[in-house]
Amino acid sequence: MKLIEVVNVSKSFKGIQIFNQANAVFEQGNIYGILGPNGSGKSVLFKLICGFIKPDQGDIIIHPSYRSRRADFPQNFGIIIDRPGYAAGLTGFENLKRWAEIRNQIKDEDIKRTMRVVGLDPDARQKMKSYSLGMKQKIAFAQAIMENQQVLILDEPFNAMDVDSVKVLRELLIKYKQEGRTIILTSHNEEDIELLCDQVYQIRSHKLVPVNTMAKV
Amino acid sequence: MLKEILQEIRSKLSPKFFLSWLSLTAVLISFAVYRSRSYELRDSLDFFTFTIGSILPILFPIVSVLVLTISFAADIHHRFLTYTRMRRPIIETLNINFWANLVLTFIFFFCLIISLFIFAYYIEPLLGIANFNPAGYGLTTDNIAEDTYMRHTFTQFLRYGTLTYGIVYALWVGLNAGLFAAIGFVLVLLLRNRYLALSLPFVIYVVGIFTLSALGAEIYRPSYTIFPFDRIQSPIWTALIPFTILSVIVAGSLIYIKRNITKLGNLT
Amino acid sequence: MTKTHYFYIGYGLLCLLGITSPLLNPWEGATTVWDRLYLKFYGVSPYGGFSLLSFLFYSIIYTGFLYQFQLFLTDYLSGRFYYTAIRYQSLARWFIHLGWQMSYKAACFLVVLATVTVLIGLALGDSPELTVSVLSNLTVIQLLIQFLLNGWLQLMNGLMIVFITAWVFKEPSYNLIAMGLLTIAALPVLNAGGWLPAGLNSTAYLSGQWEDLILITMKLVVYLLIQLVVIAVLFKRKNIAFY
Repeated sequence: MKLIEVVNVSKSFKGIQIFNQANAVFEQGNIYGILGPNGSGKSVLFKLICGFIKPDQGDIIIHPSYRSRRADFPQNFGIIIDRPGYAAGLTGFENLKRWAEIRNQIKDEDIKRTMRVVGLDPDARQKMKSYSLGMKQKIAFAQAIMENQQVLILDEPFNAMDVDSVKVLRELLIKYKQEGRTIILTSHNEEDIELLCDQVYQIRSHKLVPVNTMAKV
Repeated sequence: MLKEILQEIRSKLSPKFFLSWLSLTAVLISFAVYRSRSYELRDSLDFFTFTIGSILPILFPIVSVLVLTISFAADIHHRFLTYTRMRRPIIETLNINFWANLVLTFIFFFCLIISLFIFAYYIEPLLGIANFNPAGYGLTTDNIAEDTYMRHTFTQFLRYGTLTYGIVYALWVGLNAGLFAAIGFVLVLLLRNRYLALSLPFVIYVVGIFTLSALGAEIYRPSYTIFPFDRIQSPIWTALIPFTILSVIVAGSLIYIKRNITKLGNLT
Repeated sequence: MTKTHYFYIGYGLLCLLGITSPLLNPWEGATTVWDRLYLKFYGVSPYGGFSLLSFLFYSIIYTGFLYQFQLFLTDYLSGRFYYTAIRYQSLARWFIHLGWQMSYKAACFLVVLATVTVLIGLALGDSPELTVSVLSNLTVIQLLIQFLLNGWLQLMNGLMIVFITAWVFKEPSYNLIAMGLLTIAALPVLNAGGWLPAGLNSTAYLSGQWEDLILITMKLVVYLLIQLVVIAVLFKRKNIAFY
C-alpha cells in the first residue's frame, strides 16, 4: 500500500532551491533511509511530509487512513524533527505526559515503559535542562513511539546516543517493521542505513533518487 | 583589553546602528513637529522636553536593550560565546562585551539627546515650527531665563550655558541607557529564557515607576529621574539615588557572575 | 514553589497595591465600591487629563497579563511545538484549544479583579450602594459591561496581537517591540479617537451614553475578527519553523 507519495514536489527557501520536481513513494511496512549532504533538504522533506510546510509546487499525498480531509497533519505519525524540543523546567516523564495528555490514548505506565525501553529512568527528578544531548534525543525518540504510532518519521534518531542504546533501538525499529509499521529515517551513519533500510533515497540535484541499499552511497 | 573593547565597539558601529539612531531621531522630531501645532510652548527648552517627553520615557528601557544587548543574547543562544572559550578566557570575553555594550548604548542615547537638543535650540528657531507664547505662561523677557533655571531637574545647568545643559543632560540619559543595557546584559547571562532576560529591564522600569509613585516616592521613579519633565524641579542628588541603587545591583550581579562563571549554564 | 508562582505572587501584589493605594485616584470624591472600580481602572482618557499613575496601573494590569502569555508563547513556540502540533492534527484545533484556555483565564482574571476591588472597597468603608457617584449619568451596569465585556474583548485583542507577533517573528526583539507598542498604543497622544484596539476598556472612556459603550464593543469585536482572519491566513500559509 502506498502510504506516502511525494509527487513532483518543488520547494525553495529565500531563493535557494531545495527540491525540484522530486518524486518518491513510501510503501507501508518498510524502512526507508534518506541520505544527502548537510543542507540538502532532509529535514525539509520531513517537514513537508508532516505538513508543517507546504511545497511550492507538487503535492505530498498521504494515504486516507492516515490523514483525514480536514487535518493539517497526518495522524498516527511519530516524529523526530530538527533538534530535540522540550520544556526545560520539567522532567523527561513530565514532558512526555504533557504530550500524551493531548490525545489521552495512553496511561502513565505506558509512558514509563517507553522510557525504560529507550534507556531512561522514568522516576528521575532531573529536569530536562540538565539532560545530556543523548538523553534529550532519547526523550524525542520516546515521544515518537509511546502512543504506538504506526508511521515513524525520524530525523537522525540515534544522534548523540551511546552504542548500547543505538543497538537496542535498531532492534526495536526492526521489530516495528515486522509488525507492519513504516519508518522513514535519516542518518549519517552508513551502518544504520545498511542494517535497517529496505530502500534508500538519496537527495541528489534537488531530487530524490532511489539507490541500492547494499551499494556504497 | 582596552584594545579589544575598542575593536568590539568599532565592529558594532555598523550602518544598522547609525540607521537605527537616525530613524529614532527622525521619528521623535517628526512626532513633535506634528503635535506642536496643537500646543503653545514657552521656549526652546519647552520644545526640547516636548520632543523627548512623549513616548521615549516609556520605551526607554526597550530601546536601550535593543541597541546591542539583543545581539549579545543571540551570541549566547547560538553558543557563539561558548566557542570563544577555547580562544580566550570567558571572563575577558564578557568584560569586552559588557563594556562595548555599555559604551555603544551610551553613545546611541547621547547622540540621540544631543540631536534633539540641537534641533530644538538651533534648528527649530530657523524653521519657526513651534508656537511660542511665553506671555501666556506669565513670562517676560526679564524672567524667562530664571524660570528655565528652575523648571526641571538638570536645568540648573542652564546657568552655565545652554550647551552645558544639553551636554550634561545627554550624558545623564546616556549613562542611564548604558545602565539598563547592563541590566539586560546581566540577565541574559543569568536567565535561560532569552525573552524574559531582555524584557525584564522594561518590566523593572515600569513596575519601579508604578510602585514608587503608588507609595508616594514619586521623585525617585526612574522615568522622572531620567526624564524629569512632568514635575517641578528636584535637587540633582535625588536623580542619583535610583541610578546608584541599580548600579550597585548590577555591580553585585557582575561579581556573582565572575565568581560563578563555571556554573553558568548559558555559557556551556 | 516555582519561579512562575513567584511571578504570579508579585503580579498579584502589584494589583493589590494599585487597588489599595490612596494615590491612585485621578480625582477625589469616591464613596461607593463602584466609584473605586471606576477610578482604579480609569486608565487613559480620550477626553484629556492624563494621569501617569492611572496609565501605569492600567499597563501593569492588562499589558502585564499579555506579558505572561508572551513569556509562555516564546517558550512554547519552539522546537517542541512540532510534537504538540502533530498530536492535534490541525492547527485550527490546536489554536481553538489554546484560545479557549486563554479566553477562560482572561474572563476569570477580570471577574477576580472586580471582586477583589469591590471587597477591598467594602473593607475600607466604601458604600455598596449601586451608584457611580463620580460620574452621575453612568450606571453600574454600564461600568460592569465596560470592565468585564469590553475588558475581556480588549484582553483577547491583545492576546491575538501577541500570538501573531510570536508566530510570525521568531526573534525576541520583535516580541519586545510588540510589548512596547502595546504599552504605548493606549496613550491618547497615539490613540486619538480611540481607533486603535488599545486602552479602550479604560473606564475613562465611559461617558454614560450607551452609544459610546456599544461603539467600543463593536470596535473591539471588529479588530478581533480581523486578527482571527490574519491568524487563519497565517495557518493556511503553513510555515511552521520553530527552533
